[in-house]
Amino acid sequence: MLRTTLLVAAKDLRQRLRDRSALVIAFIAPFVLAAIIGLAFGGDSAFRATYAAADADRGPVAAGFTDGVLASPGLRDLLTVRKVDPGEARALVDRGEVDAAFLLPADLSASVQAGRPATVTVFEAGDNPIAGQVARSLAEAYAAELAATSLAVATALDTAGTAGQASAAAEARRLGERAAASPLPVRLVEGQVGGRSIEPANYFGPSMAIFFLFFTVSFGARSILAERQQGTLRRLLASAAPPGGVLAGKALAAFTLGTSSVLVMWLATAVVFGADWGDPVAVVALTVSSVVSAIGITALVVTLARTDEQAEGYSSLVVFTLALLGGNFIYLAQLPEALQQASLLTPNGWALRGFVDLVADGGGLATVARPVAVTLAIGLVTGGLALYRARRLVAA
Amino acid sequence: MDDGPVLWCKDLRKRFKERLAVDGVGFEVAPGETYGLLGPNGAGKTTTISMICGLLRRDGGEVTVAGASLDRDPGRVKAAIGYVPQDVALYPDLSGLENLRFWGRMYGLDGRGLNERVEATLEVVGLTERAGDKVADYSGGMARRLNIAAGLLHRPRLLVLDEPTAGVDPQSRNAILENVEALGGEGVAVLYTTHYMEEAERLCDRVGIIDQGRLVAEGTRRELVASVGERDRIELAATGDLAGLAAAAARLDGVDEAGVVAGGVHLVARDGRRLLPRLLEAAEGAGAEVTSVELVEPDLEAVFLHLTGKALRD
Repeated sequence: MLRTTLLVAAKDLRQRLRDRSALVIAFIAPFVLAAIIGLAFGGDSAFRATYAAADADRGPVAAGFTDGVLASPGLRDLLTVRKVDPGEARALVDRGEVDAAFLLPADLSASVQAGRPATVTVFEAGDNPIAGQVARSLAEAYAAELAATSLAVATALDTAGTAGQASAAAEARRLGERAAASPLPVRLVEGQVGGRSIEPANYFGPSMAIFFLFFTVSFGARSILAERQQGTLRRLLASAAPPGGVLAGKALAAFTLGTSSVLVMWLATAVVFGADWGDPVAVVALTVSSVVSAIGITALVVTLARTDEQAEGYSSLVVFTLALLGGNFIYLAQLPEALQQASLLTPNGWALRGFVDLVADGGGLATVARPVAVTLAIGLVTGGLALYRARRLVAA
Repeated sequence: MDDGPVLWCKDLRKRFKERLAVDGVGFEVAPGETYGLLGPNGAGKTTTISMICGLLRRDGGEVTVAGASLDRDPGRVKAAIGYVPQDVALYPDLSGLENLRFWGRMYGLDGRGLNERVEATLEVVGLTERAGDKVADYSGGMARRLNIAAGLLHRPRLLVLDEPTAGVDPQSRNAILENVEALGGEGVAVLYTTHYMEEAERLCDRVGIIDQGRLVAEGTRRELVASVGERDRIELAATGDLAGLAAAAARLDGVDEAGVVAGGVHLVARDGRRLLPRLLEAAEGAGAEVTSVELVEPDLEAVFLHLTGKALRD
């Protein structure tokens, strides 16, 4: 039995390694696609923007915006703010040296204090619309907070009935401080799972590895049908090879190639993108359980088909469905709530949660114990059903 | 058990739903003997050998190969059989050499023994020069020969060939038949299925005629011909006293009919080959000079037609 298993596995691997398309699917395509999607989601790092702030006001309300909002703890790592002269702001945007510029007018604090309308101008560069959108949202939200706060302050001043110049200035400062201290109007996220930030390479590396893993291992089950079609299965069974040994050999080849595919992806994203998938032992455990689940599911799908071509069609359908539901193409946290729940029905969703947990929370095997257990269980159940159904293919 | 038949099977039966594919087939094959299962497509040949090779569950019957029962020791039975499927059953993306090494290992060969057997078998089928090429690049005939080689690697006691020349060009077909002919001399028992009458006549020591799942007759070609009463035809081209020649021939034992035709005498006889010397003596005695002899023996096609009422290719 063991000899048959090893011989069949070695033969299958030799065949796969000669098949260029199989190598592309196992090792090249996941990396390329992860790189493309990663770039689409912001390249190799977080959202970054450079803004110019032209403070003609020099008053407390303008300071509340530049110091309280733009330099707040939530934004200061993401924004580079250049304080410039009012006449310079527009030109910097036009030259593309900044993504957006804020022009805080000279009478901003006075107008706010007097309850008069004031205008904060935002210049946006066309080549980074997201940064422009963020700049506009920051200004609008700050203005809204000022409006709400000034209404409360004005009411208090009217009640006191003595709005001297000194006290008015103090109140304006309070207005600016309170508006700046209010919750940030927008949250700048790269990718989030459960509210945690994660680098694109750390998400789409494992994500694409898992997606292509299903294609990579599906050959193992499909090769049974191919061997039946080309008559070699019949010859194998005539040679006294135990049917279980033949099936085990095919599973071993698929497991070896699938595991190698994910581990190479891990190495490649680490070297090229500086990705960190987390604790190595936990990554290996998650990889193994993901490979087992992929083998089980694709094997079960293949046993429903009668020909290799039919099996390929069924497999593709199932793999893409699982990938879409499981969050392989988009951050899980960006999926609607219903789809986030649906992703828990897929091994992809569980495996991705495991990889994200490792990156976001750190930790080791204990962190991924649940995803490992679930994906392993999915693999064993579907693999068991596949084995039961495969008996008809190898039975005398 | 070494002196007994390599293959012994009895009362094999197999039903596919409503169709009885094999119905009570039984025969045996001795060491060095080539036994042909002759029958048209769909007669039950492949089903029969599939049951013998343990590839198809039997509804009934017994199979013993090299003294081992298929029911009690299927592993030993399979190890004693070299199976050559009807279609080429090889890996097209592997070379001929890699294919043979794989199949050799599947039959337990390894190391130097494997290499020696692979080299020798490639030599036998004439593919040594192309051993490193992918099977996908082989011609149909070359692939067929390699297909047979894969079944021979482990020196099986019984080689089962399922229509190995179907769809093969004449040159490759001849090469295959020569390979099979040589096996008998090496003591290998061969079970050969075919619907080509000429192949059965050329290769097989004994033939079993199978039709609609039943073995309708079995024996050497001559025994089969005799069993259905088919006779030889002899055309003697002669000069001189043709009437005297016909009369003298008619008196010979084994001659059933004799008559004068234009330029000679036409005879219907049993075992014409053995009769020929006496016929020539009779012609000399009758004052006729024989210039040529044509002996037409009934073939298995005629036997099959007689037994089943239809031609082999129907």
